[in-house]
Amino acid sequence: MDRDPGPMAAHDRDTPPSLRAWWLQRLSRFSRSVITHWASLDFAGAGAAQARADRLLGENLSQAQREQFEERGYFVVTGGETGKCYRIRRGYQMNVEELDENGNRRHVLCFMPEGHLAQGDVMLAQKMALELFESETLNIANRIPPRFSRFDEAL
Amino acid sequence: MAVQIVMDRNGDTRHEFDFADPKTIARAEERFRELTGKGFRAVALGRDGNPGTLLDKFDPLVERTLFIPQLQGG
Repeated sequence: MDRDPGPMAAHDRDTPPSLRAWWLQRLSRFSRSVITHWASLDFAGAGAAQARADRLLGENLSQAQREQFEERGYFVVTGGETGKCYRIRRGYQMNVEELDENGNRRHVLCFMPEGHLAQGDVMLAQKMALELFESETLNIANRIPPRFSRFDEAL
Repeated sequence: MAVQIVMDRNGDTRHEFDFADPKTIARAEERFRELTGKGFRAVALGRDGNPGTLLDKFDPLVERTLFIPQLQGG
């Protein structure tokens, strides 16, 4: 039984050889440019930036926060003005939670430093912001209801 | 020696200066003004994870100053 070669095959058959060659050349150029672009990306540099940011974060956590972060992937900080507790999870955005007095999520807060920073830097900036200029940070942050969190409630 | 730590795409960039060298202090003060002028927050880092102190002007005696880029809502 003959199979339908599909519209592309018909298109190929009807395309003059010179036009097909032109398309193939374009496709080949495009593929080469994609490969060159990927090869130029500094993956090693990004890894080094991440490692530096992780080290800086580690240096600026208390012993208890470091242990909590290693075991659970988050650490808790206290707001410098209100005394409220915030959980900072591993992440770049939507990773900060305001907690109620029972340690349950009250809101998810979305704020981060400008620029393309490594994750450790983002988390350290969030920690410093809540500890040192909490009200200004809360004014900037977007508040999201807890049901929209992408994390399970911590135990 | 004191150090200014600037958060950036490389993780951070560190600029050391000598408490006893007026030239490096002047450069550090210039960097402080330049960065805070761009919206960075300067924090004198505390020890053992303690919060540290927000700096609104250059203090040459602060051992480690961290510069945090301006925050934005997500």
